[in-house]
Amino acid sequence: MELIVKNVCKSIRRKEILTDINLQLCSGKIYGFMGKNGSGKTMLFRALSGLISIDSGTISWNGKMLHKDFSILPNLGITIENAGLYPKLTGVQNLLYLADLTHRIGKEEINKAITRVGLDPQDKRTFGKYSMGMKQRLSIAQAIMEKPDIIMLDEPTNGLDKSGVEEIRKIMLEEKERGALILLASHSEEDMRLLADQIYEMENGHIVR
Amino acid sequence: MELVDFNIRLVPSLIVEQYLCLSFYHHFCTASVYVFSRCPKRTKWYVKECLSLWGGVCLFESMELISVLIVALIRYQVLWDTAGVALLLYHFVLFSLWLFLMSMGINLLAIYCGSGSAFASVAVIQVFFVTLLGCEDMAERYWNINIQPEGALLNWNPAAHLVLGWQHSSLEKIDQALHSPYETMGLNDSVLIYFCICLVIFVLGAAIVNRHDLLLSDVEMG
Repeated sequence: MELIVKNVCKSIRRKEILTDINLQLCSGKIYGFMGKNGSGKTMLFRALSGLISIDSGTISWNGKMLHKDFSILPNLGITIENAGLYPKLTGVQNLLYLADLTHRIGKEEINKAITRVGLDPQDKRTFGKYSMGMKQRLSIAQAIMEKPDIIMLDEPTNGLDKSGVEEIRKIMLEEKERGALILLASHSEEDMRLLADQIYEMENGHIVR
Repeated sequence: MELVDFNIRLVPSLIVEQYLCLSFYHHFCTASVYVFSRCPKRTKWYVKECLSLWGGVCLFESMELISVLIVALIRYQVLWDTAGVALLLYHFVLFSLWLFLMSMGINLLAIYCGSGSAFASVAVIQVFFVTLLGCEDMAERYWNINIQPEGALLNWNPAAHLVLGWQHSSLEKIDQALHSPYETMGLNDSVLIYFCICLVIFVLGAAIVNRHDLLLSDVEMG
């Protein structure tokens, strides 16, 4: 399965945030995206997933066009930096609400995903009371719980301690083994070195390397 | 005084609007990425949310009317007749449509400017229209402007259609109960006007929800 991106451009308020993006990404691999803050990594993920429209170019998944054959990449798991969940719901309640939107999985798979990221499914604390590391872990749990074909992780190891970082790296490698296509945006050169099969560097909305 | 009284009567609705105004907006300001990455058909999601909002509105209006009826039954002797029941239903429908319209407006406006600004804007608009209810009277009293037919301006004021006593009905019994001073406003017309406005806002909302680029994960915080 392939995600093919051709000449994608996006401007917001006359400022080009993505310029002439071309990518050919295959399942069963991890693609790293590096770059300074504001280089366009998060916007690229939003554009590739379909959460924002593009001004020109095409994005296709398995030969089908985004914004034509489907409005969002099908079977996608995504985390975006600083995206939150519902603060008054517990971890399980948050994931149950999201799982209810697609009806693909039940409570058992949710509990497994929560345990897998190092959290306790029985924890009655609401998301608003979570530490930064716990919030990050739950975000990753929601991204992987439905065993998606495409996983986009934006700074997944932010706010995690050393053991947390190791756990998340292990999860990414397991998902890669499962055959998922993984896009990873990170400032961590060590993450890139250990995980990425191919690294792209972004600057001012361009892919420079 | 009557305008102040009418404004005060809208306060419970304003309070409920503060709660309902987040009914689908909160999905945009918290977990929008996670919700909409799972909802390829945003229209379907939007319709479901609107139905849920409508359910909440009807529940509030029912509870409000039941409370008022209970108080009336305790304090006064209530005589039931067909006209009275019909007026009760008209009241329920008109106020439900109004509350739905205001709540939808706040939800959709909040997507662009945040919940605080959206609520304030819609509240100001409501107060403005209610204040305009006295405009014909003021025009006649202070500027000697006599608007004919009487109540013509009121037809253009959405808040005026909430005042049942100013409206006519094609049913004689209801018309007799209303004793409306104005010839130009009808109950069925009011229901139709509100329904049409709600429909327009509903369709506009579907377009907004579908086209809105999810650039920020938390619109409230930026």
